[in-house]
Amino acid sequence: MFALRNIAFKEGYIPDIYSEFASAIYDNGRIVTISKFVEKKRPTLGLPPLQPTGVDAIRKILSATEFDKLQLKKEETS
Amino acid sequence: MTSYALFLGCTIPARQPNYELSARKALSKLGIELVDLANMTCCAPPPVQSIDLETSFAVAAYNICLAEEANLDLVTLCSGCFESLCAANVALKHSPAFKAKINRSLSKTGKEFLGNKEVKHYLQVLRDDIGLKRLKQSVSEPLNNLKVAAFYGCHALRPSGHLRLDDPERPSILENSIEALGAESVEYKNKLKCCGGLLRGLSDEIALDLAREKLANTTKAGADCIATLCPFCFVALDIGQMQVRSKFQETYDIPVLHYTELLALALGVDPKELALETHKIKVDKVINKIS
Repeated sequence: MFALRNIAFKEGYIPDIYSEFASAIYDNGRIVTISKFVEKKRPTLGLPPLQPTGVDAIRKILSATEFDKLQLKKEETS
Repeated sequence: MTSYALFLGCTIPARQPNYELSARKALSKLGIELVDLANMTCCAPPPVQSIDLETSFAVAAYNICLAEEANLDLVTLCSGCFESLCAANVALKHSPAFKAKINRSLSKTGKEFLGNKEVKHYLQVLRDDIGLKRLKQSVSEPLNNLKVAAFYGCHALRPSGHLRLDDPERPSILENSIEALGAESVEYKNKLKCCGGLLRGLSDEIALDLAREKLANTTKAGADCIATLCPFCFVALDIGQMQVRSKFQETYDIPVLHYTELLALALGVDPKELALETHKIKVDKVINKIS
């Protein structure tokens, strides 16, 4: 099933929200961005500070698997 | 004290401090140390698998590498993270060719997936590491008379061949974990059907119909609350109730709690320490019933 979905994506068929997820992962290393407000609030709730996110590492992986090029193709066809 | 690397994911730290707080406090009380590792990323969940499975597995493997370097097994709270990481871990362990391919991508980050650690759902830690008998003995504030509708969602159970959390057709781990707290697990129609959580933003109408059905069925069964495992299911059923009320003029007012919140309450954690105000549907009814 994933193989078919992957082919569909390569052909440029992708729901907009999935494309947004992909961009968020490339930009922030996370599918959902954590706001500065939320980070500042953590200690007041008794939560430890968040560890840094491996954004550089994830970009290297997305480049190695050519995911970044797939994403670019989607933008060209939209 | 047993230690695990905590995989927190994205949605929980961004939007659900109630989930994170309850998990940290409850597991700590049970002698589980959760270690926060630096440089973790998104798990590359099912939507990313739909775009490119190889990328998803490579990102998941990268995060598992961090746990391998720390010599710790990984524990997850979010079902989507569990599915992504566990499926990748099992698939790569069983396919040397795929593992080699993924490791070529990981080499750009200086990592190598070895495949010597486990990815666990926290319910597995409760059942297999702590044991439900010991869990029951640890309960100081039993949730007597509380009727709980267990809701697994989709990604904690499937793909079952990789995840092996429980029988995907007749699971019992969540019901047994609820009853270990002194509560009653109530049966309801179409328990294993999707809540529509991952369809939100994609097909809102279908998503809301599925959530509405879940709310109707759990209410009809006489549940005092719904116990969830997944942050997306939580949103679908908690915020979803406000949307159902607005669209269909139907009021359910059934509290939705993550299982960890029930666990923390049963272990004696003060409700004031659990950020319960995060819930859109107030949980006062639950607190009053168990007090």
